[in-house]
Formats: sequence, C-alpha cells, structure tokens
Amino acid sequence: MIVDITTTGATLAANGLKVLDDGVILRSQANLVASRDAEWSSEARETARVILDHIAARARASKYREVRTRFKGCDAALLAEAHNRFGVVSPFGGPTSSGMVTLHCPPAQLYALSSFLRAHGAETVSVASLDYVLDRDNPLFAKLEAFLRQ
Amino acid sequence: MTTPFVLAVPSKGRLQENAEAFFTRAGLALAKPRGARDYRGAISGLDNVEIAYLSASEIAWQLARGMVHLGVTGEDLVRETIVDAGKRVLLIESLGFGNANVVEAVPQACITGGCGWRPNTSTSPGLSSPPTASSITASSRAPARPRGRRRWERPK
Repeated sequence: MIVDITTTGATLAANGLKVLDDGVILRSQANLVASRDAEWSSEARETARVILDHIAARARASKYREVRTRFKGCDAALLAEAHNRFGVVSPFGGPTSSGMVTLHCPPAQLYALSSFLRAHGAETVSVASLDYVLDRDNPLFAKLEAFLRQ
Repeated sequence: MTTPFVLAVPSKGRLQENAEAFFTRAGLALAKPRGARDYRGAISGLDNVEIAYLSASEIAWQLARGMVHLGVTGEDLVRETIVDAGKRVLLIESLGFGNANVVEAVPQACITGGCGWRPNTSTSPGLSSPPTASSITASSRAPARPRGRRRWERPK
C-alpha cells in the first residue's frame, strides 16, 4: 500500500496502481494561510487588513451578479419572497418609491429571479457582473484577528 | 525603519500563475521590480509588503516558523509539514486551484487477486512468507515521479 498525492489519478493508473474505494485521506487545494508566530506589529496587522479587504471584496463580488429593475409592484414583500426563493440580497435597501431596486443574486438563480420579476410586472431586468463589493465588515480579517487573539 | 510584511507566493509553474492571477483579480498586482528571475517582489501601492517567491513546501515551513506573515500553499503541505497545524497557522480561505488529493493506493493486481498477496499461501513461487506492507511497497511502487523538470534537463 502506498500513500501519494494525486491530481487526476492518471499517473497512478499508468503505473498499475489503484486508489482504494475509501482511499482519499485529504482533499487538498491551495489556501491563503496566516502564520501565528510572524511578527504581528500594528503595522503588519494593518497591512494584512488591507490585503484581506481586497480579497474579501473580490470574493464577495464573484458570488453574486447585480440585478437592476424598476416597476410599480416592486415592494418589500416581493423582495422578501425573492430573498427566500433565490437567495437574493438587497445591499442598498428596499425599492425606492418608484420601485427602483438593485439586487445581488447568486449566478445560478439569475434566470429564475428575472422570470419572477417580469411575472410581477417588470418590463426590463438588467444583469451585470460585479468586480468588487466592499462591505464595512471584513470577514477574512475578523477571522485572522480572532486567531491571533487565541 | 519597520520590518516588512512578507507575503509568500509559489515560485513556479501553474501554482505561481494561479496565485498571481488570484491576487491580480483582487486588485493586488504583484510586481518583480528587479526582473522576472528575482525571488523578491512587491505589490504596487502597498509600500511595506515584500513578496517572497518560494516553493509551496518551503512556504508551509516558513509559515510554521513565523518567517512570513501570509502565504499561499497547499492544505496537504500544511498538514504534512506543521506539527499542531491548527495552533501554528490559520487557513484563511481556500482559493479554488492547486487541487491535490492525498490517497491510499495499491497495485491493481492486488485488487483483482493476481499478485499473490494472500496470507498463508504455500504455492506462491519465490515467497516463503507473505510479503509485508513494506516489501509490497518497495517491489510494486513505480519509480518516484520527478516533481517538475530539473534545470539541466531540456524540454521535450
């Protein structure tokens, strides 16, 4: 029996080896990793905060697409339903008095959401990709701070 | 003069390309001010950051010893290299590339029953006792695959 690291298993197979049915010990991928024993001065923490803020903004952006529309029947109750059914968030609050709204929607639910909005009166729904979404909270830096505090 | 903040990035191959693309997408452009072959780099706009280009296993090692603040490396290397990894380092986020599985494998012939690896068989020629796990490994393991091309080898 051997233990090896493999990506596709092709090299193992080419050498007449077979992975056991329950033989996957660890599914690994590249990670961003922080060291506890590095010198975490206040300057270093601030640098980490800025780097992680960039990374979190990009990660947040890639999980959603921006959906915009405007129609009379667009109200808080409709948005609540969209949230429950499609995982939509409304980062800038509910619809304006004229029913204008900006939503963030998971990519897999885009078509279902835009069908839903049109069925409730929207003439047009636009969808755009997001480059960065910068929230006040920085979940990655919060995780690092909690780890360094332990 | 404050000590620099050190971010370690894999120094070769697809891991390096993927890591650089990841930072670029996040709006952090890695630059090598002294040329492509340099092992030190910088992030434009962040003055006190030093990029250390190292092998992925060296990155895991240096993270464990506190020689770099942040680094990109494989979870498998973290678990293999660092004793008590959960206390020494924090996996902040998985990056969606560099996939590798740590697996247990056996010779195909042992599964189909053709390698004579059965306890108490007196008929196996040349085997006076059942082979131990280590003798199976030594005899049937393929020669170790070199990881990456050596510098003196020419590309095929």
